[in-house]
Amino acid sequence: MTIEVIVHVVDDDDGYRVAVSRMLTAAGFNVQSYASGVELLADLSGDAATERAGCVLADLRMPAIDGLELQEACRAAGIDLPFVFLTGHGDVPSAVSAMQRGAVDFLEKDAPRHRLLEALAQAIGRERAERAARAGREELKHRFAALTPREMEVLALVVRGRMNKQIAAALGIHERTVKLHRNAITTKLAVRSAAELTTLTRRAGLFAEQQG
Amino acid sequence: MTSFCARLLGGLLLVAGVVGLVHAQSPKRVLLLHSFGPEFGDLYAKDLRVQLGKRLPGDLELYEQWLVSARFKDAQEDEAFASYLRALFADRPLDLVITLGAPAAGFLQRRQQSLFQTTPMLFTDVEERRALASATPNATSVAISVGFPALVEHILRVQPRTRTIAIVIGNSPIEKYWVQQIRQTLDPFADRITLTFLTDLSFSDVLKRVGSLPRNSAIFYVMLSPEVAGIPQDEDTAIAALHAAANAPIYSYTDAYLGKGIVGGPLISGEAQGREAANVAARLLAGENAAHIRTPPITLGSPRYDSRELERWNIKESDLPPGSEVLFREPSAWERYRWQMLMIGVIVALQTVLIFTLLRERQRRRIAEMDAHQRISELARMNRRSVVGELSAAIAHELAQPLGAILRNTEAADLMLQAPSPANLGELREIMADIGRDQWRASEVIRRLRSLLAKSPAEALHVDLNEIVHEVVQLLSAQAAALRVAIDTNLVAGQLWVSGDAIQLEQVMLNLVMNALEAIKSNAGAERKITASTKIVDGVAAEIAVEDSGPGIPIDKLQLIFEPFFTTKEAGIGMGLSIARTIVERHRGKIWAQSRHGGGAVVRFTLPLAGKQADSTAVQLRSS
Repeated sequence: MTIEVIVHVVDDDDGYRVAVSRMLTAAGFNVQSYASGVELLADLSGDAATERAGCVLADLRMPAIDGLELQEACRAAGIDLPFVFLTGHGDVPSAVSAMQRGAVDFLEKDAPRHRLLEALAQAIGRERAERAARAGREELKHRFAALTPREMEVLALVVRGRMNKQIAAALGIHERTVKLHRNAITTKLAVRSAAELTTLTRRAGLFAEQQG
Repeated sequence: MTSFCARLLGGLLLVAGVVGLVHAQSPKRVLLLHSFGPEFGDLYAKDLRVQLGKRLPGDLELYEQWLVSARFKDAQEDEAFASYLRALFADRPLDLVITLGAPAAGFLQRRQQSLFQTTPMLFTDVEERRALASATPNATSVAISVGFPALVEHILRVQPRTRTIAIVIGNSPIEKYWVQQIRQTLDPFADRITLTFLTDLSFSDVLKRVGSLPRNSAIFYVMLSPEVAGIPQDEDTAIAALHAAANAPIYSYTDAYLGKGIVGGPLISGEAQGREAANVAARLLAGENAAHIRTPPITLGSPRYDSRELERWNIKESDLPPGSEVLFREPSAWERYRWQMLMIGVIVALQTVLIFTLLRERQRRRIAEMDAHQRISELARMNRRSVVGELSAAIAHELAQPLGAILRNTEAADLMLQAPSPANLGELREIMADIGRDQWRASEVIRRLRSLLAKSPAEALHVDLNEIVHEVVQLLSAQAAALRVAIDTNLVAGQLWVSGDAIQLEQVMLNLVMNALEAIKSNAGAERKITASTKIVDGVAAEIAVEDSGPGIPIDKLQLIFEPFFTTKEAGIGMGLSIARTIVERHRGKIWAQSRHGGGAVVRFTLPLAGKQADSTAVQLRSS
């Protein structure tokens, strides 16, 4: 299924919102515009995360809910779209704050076209990458879900670099049993080496403190 | 035997004691015999009495007699007086007789055999020429020596132009003697000066003569005996009359007249005479032999002058001989009224200081007033600036919108025109329209900003308050929106004309609405609303009110908030309401704050209405 990449424009100033939407449309983007962050949240909540693609282009200073608050609210609601902010005045503290919270960029409203388009492209790219990564992680989780609890225990020690003998001792089983578990793991996870196993495990985000 | 001796001894002792007592207790009897009457010619008698009193205190019985027979040439009169004296002192033997003046001395000399034969005598106040003539046993003299040449030399030195000297002298025998003496001794001066003897005249004639002397004259007063016809009884009066009548300076030989009208010069000192005489008298009373006492004559002393006479006759002190003493200096105005003048001087000085201080204070006050004026303008400007500073974010934002939109629109049009598919003309037209509108929006913001910053002096024009409210609300709409505060307006219909400065009134409004925004900003209450309203009061005044739904103002601070530097904002200056009040009051209005029903505050101000018929050509508030 192809997911439509959409630039979500949020600005309370009608004039600017219409103009920027026009320009982005003419530039080839799919644009959806909202007069306030509330509308955006309403629109995007409930949608499955995988169905959202694109980014948000938001004005910083808005009534009801301003740009930064919107960013926060989106994260809280699980809407993982990157933000590009526009501002009518150079506000350094807000800029710093925005960037710290992971905004892609922070632009003046009259920034030249190419800067704006670059930022949006970057945002969209990042979003895509993240989506892919997320999908990858999901898929991995499925794979690891096939492992039994005992196999997980063994895996935990394997990725820590323990020898079979040590694992056997730690778990109170025979070394041969350990070997058996290891075979099962590699089969289920479809890996070809211990290194790949470790990498995969890490990518799955399991066992946070992995000191290889 | 012993009782007799004892009585004899006692008697002797008693007698001795009495004798001794009598001797110890008996004072010295001294007779002062004057030549003339007590009022006349008694030149130095006072000095003599004083000195005698000093030298022989308590011990002295002084008798005084006046030999008036200098007037009389009659020998018989002389004799009668001698008998009188003899009788007077028959029971009181004199221890000493002192004569004053040549006539008295002559009188005693003539009667030597029959009067006071053994009494010691002291002749005083006789000129040495006269004293030398007498050689009397048990008599000695304290004489004076008057050098007439020296006196004339002195006159010529002090007043070199003197050509005539009028000599005032009487007609008695002694005076006749002196006329002759003077003529003789002053003969060497005949080529330099003319001597005129005013003798043998009645007193009034003397006065006439001394009053009509030729120029470059001087008067020399020797003596006027009481014989002179018409002479006042009292010598002081005579001298004064002479002094008043004289048209030339008067000189003399004795200091008795110094201070009574003579100029001065080298003079015989009466005090010196008295002292010497008293000394000799003491010696004689002590028992010394008169023949053994020789006293050198008293001579003319170092020059002394009366400064009043110097001034009268224009004699400069620099012309006086060295060692001169100037007496009777009249205290100058300074000396006389020194304290008064000092007081006046001090008062005048104080007043001058006061005047200068007042003038300077006035100057300072003027400067301060100008300064204050300027400060107020500056503060107003600063207030505007600070307000603008606060607004800069809002304004920049307001400008950024239209400008940004214009940019995007032109970019959009550009992209559309580049696209391969045919351009959507309808949309292009919309783009043009939007651009035009946004350009107008932008220039409006700039115009408003410029008018806010303009430092034009207060202009009294007709100003529409409704328009001002509109403007300010418009200006702050973005800010209000950003704060999620709604601003409502409730304006009286039509135009609300007042007389005043539009910019300043706008500033007042700006301050009030910004304060309202500020108040609500931190208020987490449900209602976030500002209402700006105008109305007419009593048909003569316009009232503008700005209500907010903020936390309100505590009752005790309702007045305080208008004070300078009162602020509850962290970064506030506290001048907003103070400046607003200054402006309102300068427009002859009033401004005050109240609590609002239902929470919050309301600030109202009134302004007198301008003539209601503001002409339609009333000046547009500002150029666009």
